[in-house]
Amino acid sequence: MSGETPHDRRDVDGRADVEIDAEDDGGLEAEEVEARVGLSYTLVQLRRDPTALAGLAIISVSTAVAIVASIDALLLDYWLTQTFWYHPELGPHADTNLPPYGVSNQYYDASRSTLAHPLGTDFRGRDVAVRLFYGTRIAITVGFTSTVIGLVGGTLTGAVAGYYGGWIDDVLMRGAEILYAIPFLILVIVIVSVLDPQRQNALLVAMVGVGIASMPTFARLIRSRVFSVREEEYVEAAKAAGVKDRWIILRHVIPNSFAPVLVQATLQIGLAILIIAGLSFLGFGAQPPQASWGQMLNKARPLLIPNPWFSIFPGLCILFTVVGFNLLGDGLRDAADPRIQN
Amino acid sequence: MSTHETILEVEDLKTQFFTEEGVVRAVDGIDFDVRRGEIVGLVGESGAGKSVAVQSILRLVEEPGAIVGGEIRYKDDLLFGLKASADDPQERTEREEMLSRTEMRTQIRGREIAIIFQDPMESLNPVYTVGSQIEEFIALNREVPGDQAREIAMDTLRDVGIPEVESRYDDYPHQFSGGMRQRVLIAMALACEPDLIVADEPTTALDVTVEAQILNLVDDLQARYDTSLVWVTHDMGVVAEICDRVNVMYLGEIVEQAPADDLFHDTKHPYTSKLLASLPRPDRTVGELDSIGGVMPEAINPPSGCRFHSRCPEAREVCAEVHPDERPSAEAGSHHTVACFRDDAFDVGYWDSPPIETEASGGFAASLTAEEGESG
Repeated sequence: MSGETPHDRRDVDGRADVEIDAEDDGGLEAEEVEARVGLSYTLVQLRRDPTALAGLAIISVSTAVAIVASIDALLLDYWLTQTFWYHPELGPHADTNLPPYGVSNQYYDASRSTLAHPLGTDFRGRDVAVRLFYGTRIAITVGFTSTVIGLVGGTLTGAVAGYYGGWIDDVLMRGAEILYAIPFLILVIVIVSVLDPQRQNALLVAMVGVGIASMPTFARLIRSRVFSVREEEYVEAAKAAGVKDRWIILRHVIPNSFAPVLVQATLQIGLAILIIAGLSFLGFGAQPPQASWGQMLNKARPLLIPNPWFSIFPGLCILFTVVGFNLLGDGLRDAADPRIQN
Repeated sequence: MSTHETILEVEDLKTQFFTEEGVVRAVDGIDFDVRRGEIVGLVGESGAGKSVAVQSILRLVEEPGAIVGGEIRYKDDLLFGLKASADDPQERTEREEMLSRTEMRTQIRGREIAIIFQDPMESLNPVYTVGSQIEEFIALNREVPGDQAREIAMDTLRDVGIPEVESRYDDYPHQFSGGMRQRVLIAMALACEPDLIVADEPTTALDVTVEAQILNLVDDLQARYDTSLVWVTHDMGVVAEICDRVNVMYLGEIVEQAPADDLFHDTKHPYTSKLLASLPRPDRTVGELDSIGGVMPEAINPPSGCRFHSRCPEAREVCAEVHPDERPSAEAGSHHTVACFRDDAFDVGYWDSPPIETEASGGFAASLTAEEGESG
């Protein structure tokens, strides 16, 4: 050993290393490549993508609306909307079947429409606008909840299957394939019809059902990433340091395999909203008098000819929300893929 | 230094991989030991089985590989050991005193034996800060409260020469250079205060100036922390720099063991000589480096006799027929053990046996080079 104290050596070494860095072009390139796949890089890329930003804007607005509606319904007992607007479920607020403001056709006279009910009233005289506002709450809630169910279940299953491989992988992934083969819409309808004839919990069953149905997609997606991540040296290093498998999966494997799952989750929220709106339309989701878009469409069905606006407005709501999630999902996918040059 | 107790003892270790093409004998009966405070080198070409050997020590070999024989002792613990089964003498089962998988994980890995991996770019998790990763390992392997783990992590980072630790502590791995990351990995290994660190080619990915700094650092820290090291490398220069004793591996076997100085000045095995000869020397200008003819044979189907005979310039007929085990050299005052018939410890009639043509002495590869020489 040299006569220098450890402290001296450290300073000398530290400085020398910094100098080498500055000259080392290879190191810079590697850093750039790594930065291209990071989360912050993805977000920067996203900012350059106008369609994704439009999607993000739609989602932000609907989520904000849903949060306000939830606070009002759960904490304030509809105080907010009743004070400044109308109760979304109890009516009537005015005459039934009022047309939207300024709209007329051969059945309805525009003079009946009023600014107090800009989108008109429904067959029970309830304000359509406030019901659509509250429909956002159900759509966003079911979208997020069912996706979280699928995301958590699918990610854990797929990560465990991919990490251990072998028979564990076989069992879990065959299970996922069986799940794939089950027609979930029909299963939800059967379960609700048999177990819940009053359809008190139909929306819950629909949410959980759609969530479980989406698990195999997430499981497959993360499993294929885990196969490569588990061979990374930092996983090996964690094993060599005595870290438990469980902890390695949660802390080291899943975060490094998560990017494609996040993209899929965004798309899945839109899909879940669409499916559950469909179930509500069939009467197996949200129940009257709850204000849900699918259920409003259902009630509008026999009145399609005299007053088409009953179905147009909830339809547009569903369309915009789902398109919003899809735009953001596509944008995220492109931004997260370093091979696509924006 | 050599008077210290032996902490790691590997005896007749055999690790095999069961592939569709056949059984790969990656490690085929190696013996070596590590004493307290010593740096032991494990040297050989790519594919010699060095990495598999060190993974076997920590029982990190994964499917389709498995340790099939031998014994690994660490201090008073049996890390691996088999015994003949009571019912079927052919069948061999794990001994009762062998540590369970849980015991390996909680008592040995990280806590007693730590590994530093080859590639500093890949060995840190990109999604966490450097500091939090060291803290994680400390919290796991040392019974200390959270804020103290942070203190220890910072102190260790200072010890390995990371400048401005306070500001770099919460940086992510990609913000560090290769040399700095290797220092972080060394800090991660040291922070858990293991008695043995296995370094699996830790400087291979670094350029030589950084490599020299890291070697000095390791030498320094090793003395300060009184840790033993197993240093895996293919670089004889690194061996000369830091190792106390050296094991030379070829195709799953150790062919020569000696204190580092003896190995360089009194080389016994032709493979070791060829390895040394293939090292570029700045003080000698040569037209072409003296490489080892041929490539290492597949470990699925090793050559008969001495495994090196197909590439050995000294090979004689007996080398292709009889397999040399490793023996202490017969030379007086030598600390070598060697697996080569040229040593007097063997009495198999090497010197009476006629030389044979090999890839090194005059086989196909040699004839190719000769032709090139003539035409050029």
